[in-house]
Amino acid sequence: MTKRMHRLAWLILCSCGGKVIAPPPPPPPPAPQKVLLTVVSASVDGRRSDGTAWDDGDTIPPPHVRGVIDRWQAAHPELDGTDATIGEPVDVPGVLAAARKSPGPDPLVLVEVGNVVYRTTIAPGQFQPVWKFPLLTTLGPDDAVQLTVIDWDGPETFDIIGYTLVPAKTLLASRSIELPRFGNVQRLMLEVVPAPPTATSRRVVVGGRDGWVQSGVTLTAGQTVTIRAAGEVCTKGSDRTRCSGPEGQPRVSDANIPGFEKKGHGALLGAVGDVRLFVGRERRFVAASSGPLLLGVNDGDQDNNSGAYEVAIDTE
Amino acid sequence: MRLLVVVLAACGGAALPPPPVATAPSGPFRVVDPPGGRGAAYPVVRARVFALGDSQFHHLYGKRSFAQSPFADRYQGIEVAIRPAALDDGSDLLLEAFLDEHRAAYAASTLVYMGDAADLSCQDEYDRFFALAAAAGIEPLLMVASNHDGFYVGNYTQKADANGNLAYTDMPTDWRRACARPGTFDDRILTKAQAVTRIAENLPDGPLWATDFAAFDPTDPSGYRTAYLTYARPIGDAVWGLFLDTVDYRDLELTRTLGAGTVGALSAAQLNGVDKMMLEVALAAGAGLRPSFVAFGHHTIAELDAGTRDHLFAFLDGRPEILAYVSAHTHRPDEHLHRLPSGRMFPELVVGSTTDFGSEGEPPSARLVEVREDPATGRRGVASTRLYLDVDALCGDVVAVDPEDPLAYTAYRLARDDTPDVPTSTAGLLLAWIASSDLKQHRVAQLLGALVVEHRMVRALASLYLNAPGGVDDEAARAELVAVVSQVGTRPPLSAPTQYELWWDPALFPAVPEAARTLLSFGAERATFESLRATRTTTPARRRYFACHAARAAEAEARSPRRVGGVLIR
Repeated sequence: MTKRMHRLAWLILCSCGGKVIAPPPPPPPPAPQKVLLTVVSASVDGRRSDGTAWDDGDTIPPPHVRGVIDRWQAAHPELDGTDATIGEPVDVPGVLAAARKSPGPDPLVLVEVGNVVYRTTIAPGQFQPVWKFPLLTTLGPDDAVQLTVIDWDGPETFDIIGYTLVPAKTLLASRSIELPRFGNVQRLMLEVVPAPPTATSRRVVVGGRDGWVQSGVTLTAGQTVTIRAAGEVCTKGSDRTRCSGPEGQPRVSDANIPGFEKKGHGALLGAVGDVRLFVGRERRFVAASSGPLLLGVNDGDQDNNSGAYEVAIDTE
Repeated sequence: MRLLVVVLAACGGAALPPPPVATAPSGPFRVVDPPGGRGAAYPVVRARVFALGDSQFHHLYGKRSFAQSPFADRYQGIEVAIRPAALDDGSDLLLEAFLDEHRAAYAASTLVYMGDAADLSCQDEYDRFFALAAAAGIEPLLMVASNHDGFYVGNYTQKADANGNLAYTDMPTDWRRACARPGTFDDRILTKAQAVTRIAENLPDGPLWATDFAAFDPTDPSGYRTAYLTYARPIGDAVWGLFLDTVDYRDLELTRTLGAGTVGALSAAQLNGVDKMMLEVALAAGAGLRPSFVAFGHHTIAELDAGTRDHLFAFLDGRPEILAYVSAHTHRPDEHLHRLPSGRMFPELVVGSTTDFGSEGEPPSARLVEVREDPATGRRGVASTRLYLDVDALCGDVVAVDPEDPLAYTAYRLARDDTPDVPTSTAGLLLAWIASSDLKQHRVAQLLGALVVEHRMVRALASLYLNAPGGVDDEAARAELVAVVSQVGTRPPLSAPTQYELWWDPALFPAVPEAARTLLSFGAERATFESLRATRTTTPARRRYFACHAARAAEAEARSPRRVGGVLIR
């Protein structure tokens, strides 16, 4: 019975008793559901459709894909200035340059739900990339999820490997989903489960000589995080002019960490997945990537540093 | 109408316009806007503060030293080594007038005491201050550490202080003699460790992280190096006060300066601790709430050591939630805008003294500070006005002592200025040293001058009590006061000297101990004056009389002629 017929029948039935009773409202549509969507793995063709290698020259991406990247970047102002380092985890330096030299693709997946864009990490030089990249999102039954697999050579230069649109109903129907070929993507594996609780609070000390410090917090893309910090780090022995709080010194240095060349020397930085961000005294942001949250000081030459920052991390 | 306002406010109706930054005073006070205006005019008031300080309660009954000598009082034209007796005796009444005004017109404001409750830095001065605070119901009390609360006359702890220029002193024994009660040798000096302990004991409760306090060796005059007190406490709706210790010399070698009164300091560790307190405040406030802060410190920013100042500016620049710095120390209300390294302007509000005039024509004052918010944008800023004591209104028909009277408030200047200066240049000191390696001739001259000054001040105070409304009921006390007033010159001692009477700097023998026994001193008259002090407030007329003369004495001290840089300015 259609909804219209159901309503008509109800009106007739109720009119018989001499009283007109309003029909019960139709059952509400299923509520949007907060889920943990994991981009697991894929298989990618060995060459482009025209037979050229994936890293042969740069392709001008179609505008709608360009726009997806722009929206992802616009949603993450905490990454400002770090464009050239996106794709390079801080604990695997040089991987991006190495990937660019290899003829294989450096695939990643852009996941777009409504206007919200997620970006997996890069799988450098992989034809059968395994990301196991979790992200937190909300899916309504009428939503559709656009999946775009690209060969990442930087925010401005990349090739499209393939893209597809998947109804949310399909994703919500089972825990594991295997999407068949689209474009040069032979298959793409996804997992969807209800989102687990993610709220945590943690305190950590980041020493001025400790390099990148594991915070003990693992972030999931899409998760809201607040980091607050206090304390003092000095970057040149007892020279008081080279001391600052987490906001950094009012000067830059040649020893600044790549990606933060224009930020105050000695400032508090963060890194998650293959992106890095400026934290300073306080930063509230939506995680742009997934993985352990690392914290460090904007100084590549830490041997003569002293002091530490006390950092409080709250995730929602 | 007032009920209507309360009902409207309680019902959550349209936001009522807030009261102005300062409501009309109820007592003898005047609200005066700063020359540059009140500041932020945002409609919502988040915090109100009534800031006052520099009461300089003075222990009159100890032995004089070089620090209270004629030269010290004339030095650099800043006449605070000697105050008129009426002012030293009545400074507590002036503070009470301010506290009465707070209670009557500004009870909703958080009271903050900006330091220098003491003058010589004696325990008796602090005892008197905290007894008054308890009686006035202002405990627990937000109060900052300061130079007169822990350093002898606000500057020194030992002979090595003040860049080694204390050759004329017998520190730290001078300090001990100045603070001892007459007839005793008890150590009654107020060290910084003791001062910050006392302040900490009287603070409002707070979380553990909100107080950074240490006082390792309370009896060591030089223990200031390891004694400090910094804390944070709420002062309004999502507004916290950061109470800094500007006599924190963990990073600055005080003995290379001219003293704590000339150079304030904040250690890196202190600012680091403050930063962590701010972090805890933000965490306690929870997500979405952004607390604001007002910093309070005794020294003005201009009087902080240059390194401290640079460090503080960088600290403030990175923390825009600190809206203003409230300071004191200069005894002169003022407002400054500082340019931070980023170019942002930052306000400093200077609180005057409840005891001294800031300058001629500028009476004792407090300051009202408000944190205001624009609810549309969430922006916050500070607004402030000065609250001056209206001396004419306070005095009413009480007549000031005639300046030509030999016992006028500042008549002691006659004796003071008869005493020559001491050499301060290297060459002058060398010549003096050749004459006497302990500079005896100059030390004796200054102390004799100090004793003659004290002699006249004792007579002036006795005269004040004798002429008070209602007079002096106690026969013996009245007879003593009459005898004191009439003793113009010296009086030979009638008995052999006691050990206490011989307790002087060895370099001053025999002239000073002998002179001290023939001249009047507050110490010798302590019993009389202390018994009479309790009668100062037995009637409103007597309270008005003594408070008025304290204020008039402060006014007279601020008035010309005064000597600046060795030149008498009229």
